[in-house]
Amino acid sequence: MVDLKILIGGPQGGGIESAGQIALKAFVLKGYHVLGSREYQSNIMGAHSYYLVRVMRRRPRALTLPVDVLVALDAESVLTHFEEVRPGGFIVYDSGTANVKASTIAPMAKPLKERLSEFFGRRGSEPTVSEALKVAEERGVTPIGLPMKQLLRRVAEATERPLASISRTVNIMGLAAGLYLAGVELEYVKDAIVAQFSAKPKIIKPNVVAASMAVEHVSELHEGLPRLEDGPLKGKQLMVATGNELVAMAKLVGGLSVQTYYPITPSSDEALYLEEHRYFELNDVAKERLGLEKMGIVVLQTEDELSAINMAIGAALAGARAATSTSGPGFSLMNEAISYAVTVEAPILITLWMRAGPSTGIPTREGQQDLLHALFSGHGDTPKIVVASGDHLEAYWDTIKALEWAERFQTPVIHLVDKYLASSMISIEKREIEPRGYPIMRALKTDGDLRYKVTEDGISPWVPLGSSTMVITGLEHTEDGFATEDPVARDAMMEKRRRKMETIKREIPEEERVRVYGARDADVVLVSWGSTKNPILSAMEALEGEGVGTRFVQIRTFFPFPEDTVSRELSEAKTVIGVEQNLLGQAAFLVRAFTGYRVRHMILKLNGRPIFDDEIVYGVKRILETGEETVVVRGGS
Amino acid sequence: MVLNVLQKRGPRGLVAVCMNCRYWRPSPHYPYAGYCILHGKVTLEDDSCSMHSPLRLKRNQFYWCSSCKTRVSSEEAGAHASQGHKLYLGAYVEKDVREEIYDAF
Amino acid sequence: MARSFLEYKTDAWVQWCPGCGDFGILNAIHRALAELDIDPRNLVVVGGIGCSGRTTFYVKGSNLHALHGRAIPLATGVKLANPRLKVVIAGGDGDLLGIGAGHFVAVGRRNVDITVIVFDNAVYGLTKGQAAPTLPSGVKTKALPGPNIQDAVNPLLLALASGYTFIARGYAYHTAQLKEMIKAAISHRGTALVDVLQPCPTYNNVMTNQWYEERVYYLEEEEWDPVVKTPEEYRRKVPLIAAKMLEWGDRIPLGVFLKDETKEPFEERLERQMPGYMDNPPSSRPISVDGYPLADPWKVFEEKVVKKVEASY
Ligand SMILES: Cc1ncc(C[n+]2csc(CCOP(=O)(O)OP(=O)(O)O)c2C)c(N)n1
Ligand SMILES: [Zn+2]
Repeated sequence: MVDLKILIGGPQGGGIESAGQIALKAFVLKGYHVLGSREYQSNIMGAHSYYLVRVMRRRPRALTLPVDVLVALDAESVLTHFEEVRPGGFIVYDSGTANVKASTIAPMAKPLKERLSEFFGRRGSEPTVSEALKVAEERGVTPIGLPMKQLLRRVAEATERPLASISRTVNIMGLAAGLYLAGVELEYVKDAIVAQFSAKPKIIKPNVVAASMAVEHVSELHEGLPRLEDGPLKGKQLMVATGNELVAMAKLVGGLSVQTYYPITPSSDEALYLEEHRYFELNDVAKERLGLEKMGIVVLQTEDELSAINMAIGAALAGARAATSTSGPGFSLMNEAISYAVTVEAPILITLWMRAGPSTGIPTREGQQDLLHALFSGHGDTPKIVVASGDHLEAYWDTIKALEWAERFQTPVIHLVDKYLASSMISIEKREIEPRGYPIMRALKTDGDLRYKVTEDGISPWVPLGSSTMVITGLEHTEDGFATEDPVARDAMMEKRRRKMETIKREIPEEERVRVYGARDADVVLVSWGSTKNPILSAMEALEGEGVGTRFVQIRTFFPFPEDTVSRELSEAKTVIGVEQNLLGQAAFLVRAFTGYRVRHMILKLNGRPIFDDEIVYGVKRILETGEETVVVRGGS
Repeated sequence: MVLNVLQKRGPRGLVAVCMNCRYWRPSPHYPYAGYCILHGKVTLEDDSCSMHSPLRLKRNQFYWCSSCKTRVSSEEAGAHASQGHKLYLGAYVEKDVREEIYDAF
Repeated sequence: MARSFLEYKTDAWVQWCPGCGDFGILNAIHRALAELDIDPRNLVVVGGIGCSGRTTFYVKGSNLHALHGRAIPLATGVKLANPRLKVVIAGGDGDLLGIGAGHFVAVGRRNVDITVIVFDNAVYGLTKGQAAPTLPSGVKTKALPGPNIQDAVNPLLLALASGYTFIARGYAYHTAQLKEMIKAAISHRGTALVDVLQPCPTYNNVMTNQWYEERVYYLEEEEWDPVVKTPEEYRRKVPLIAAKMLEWGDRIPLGVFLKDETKEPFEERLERQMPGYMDNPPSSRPISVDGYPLADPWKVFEEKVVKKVEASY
């Protein structure tokens, strides 16, 4: 079984991104599925950041530590991650940094410096790179020093030119050495470099030379390492994309025609990627049928989130498929407009990329803290669809579905995704994003022109602005849209809103709203939502291997809440454990609100790092052993 | 205040290498390599050439302290230099650095 | 004249206080629309929240009543989706220059082809007379516990600084002149401001009808050509225009201060970036063919596909 894990660490701006991408590409070219993730600080330059890569024959479901190879491009990376390498693994580091002391690394966080001082103090030494490597060595890890400066000189000599790039030579050397130790032949690294820099041919050659030199250096020290066999997907083309990118792709595929946004991490990359492709080429069928070559999406950066959502609502009311995307702080600003969108029955999609709060919090880190906020957003009674995706591909398909639901039910749809999905990337096969089965069509009801007609199913005829005279207002209104405070008219509208929610509940099938995995007779039932899904599925396999049978209830829509299934699954279970990345156990809170069932145990992760599968395994076992109510897991650096 | 920014010393004092030269800008990430603004190329800290011109500390000037990874004014620079920090007239930010940086707020 | 202004009235009860300047503005809007012969189905009046925002209900159109402060982005969304619509914003000074001031600025930067009519009574009418952003400091209206402690913003200068390409100021009860300004604003291609001074007889007992009548005069009475045709002409005229906009006190100028024809409206910028936008705007463009998407993701996003590429280096 191939299960390789590589961590590439270095300063923000120092080539971590391209090293990570090249690593992913090399493994894909070798025929493997990959999962990669960027972890970085809220900083533009110089602070520690890293890429975590996992490689398997089938798509990896979770990140995990320890890794097999740590590529530490600078001293801070060694001192941050030296304990995260498995026995038998390698640390590739710059031998020029051996004497660097933690205390002299300006960007390093104070609490980490203190922890390191304490740790090394107990050993009677000081936190330096070489001491850290000693500790790793004692645990069976092999440090591999690369004399970076000397190697840079040799690259310049070999290419007979000054270096084209510093960061992008250092990173490639570290990476190529790391990949060699992981069993990847140089030729794949070269191919990946070419694929990565096809638009910058000038840096291909020096990079290839750098990779060769680093590998030469390492192979002289370490001969006869086992080589990685070719993977099952060798020769097949795979795409590697982040959650941000997949959601943007789905918006384009799903017929979105207007997207507004105000920049905010971790959502801006979605809008920017969509903007890059806003004027796209039609496929042959569409070209022929429509007589057009290209079609456009208006993607607009607004002055703030108030504008972003109101603009999307205006566009939707005029007939566009419209969306906006944001994160917690921006969503807070959108609250008033969400209530408006519910009242005027605007079909809009709000993609909410959660990050770790409260307030500005740790803006580039993982959190699942906006569930209650999303569900209860907007003043007044404001039911709206809230759907949470469990993984990258769910995020893709849910985007397409959400666009359709918004129209069919004339309602805002809040799509919950998070920082981990946003900036982690997976390998994807063509068929997985090929829109078959799910028709993309305008879903607007057109049986009359009374915009707010009181109907049996609570859905009124769709009449876009510009098609007839009318009024749309956030004030309570009569069927023709005019403002009213009449008590009877008010009741009629409130009841129409209730019936609409019942319709939504009836028409979005239960299978869409909740998914259940695992053995029917399992003693332990895990309840969770969002991006913890795959780590949970991965943990379930491990637990199975240890004789602990588990079942997993993944809640996907919180409104309408899948009461029947959740109630049934939980009430029959011996031990129910919630898994969430928030303080309150927000989904568990909703389970109780909607079903009356109290989830007694929680595994929580709060430190802003994505949850690992082994942490869930640990949490479940701990709860079974001790009966503790809450286990907080704390992995990641 | 005029004083040498002593960085690499040989038996006869300051060595005429890039890191002691006023034309040289280290990478903020990997400061053993940098950019020579005179020749317009990347060199290593211990490279040298005939155009070497020693770096001195002057008034009304900003310096890049590569040890602290931050910019300091001449008023503070002396204190950094005396602690053995490496000071330069600037740092070299590569032109594609944007592609290596993530959105941060 | 193809339509009567009566065709633009709705059967909703016009519920403003007697003597409210809003009546004059509404009348001027009705007449302007009739003279421009705009099909009410192609007209979107976007109202703010405030007494003035009620205009949404009093003009026949395909109308939208926004949240407080958000008329501009809402209207911009409508216009982006369907650039063929005529979009007119009717909002108060509190709505557009107070809570919505950020949008007031942003729309000028885009030069979206919409008309912003500010119902400028210098008070918050609907919430009982608090100071609005256009109330000069030191003024104490009946409703205020003391003289206004905050300075007024100058809507015309703010619009100028923000890039509006049509800037006018009218007076609510000079409906003939106001009608002409509104017509010119709607006909102008780009973001147009008509700041309409108006008495609020219920709350603003200082800036009354008489107060205004004693002060206002029209730019036409002097020699004034608001049209700018080249960037050079803009640079030459703009200091004069700004100086005129600053005039306030014993004499208050009314009229069209600026009509800048040098800047491309937003819709044209989009058309240039994405040819076909005007013919197939977001509101009506196809989104699929027989339920299949218009584009193949594997092709459109090909740069994400990891491929071995042959390259010599
Ligand atoms: C409500 C909200 N929206 C968006 C953001 C994300 N955000 C953080 S900083 C920033 C831009 C800062 O630009 P500027 O004010 O020009 O400061 P600069 O970084 O250029 O100094 C944005 C959009 C946020 N923190 N809160
Ligand atoms: Zn220093």
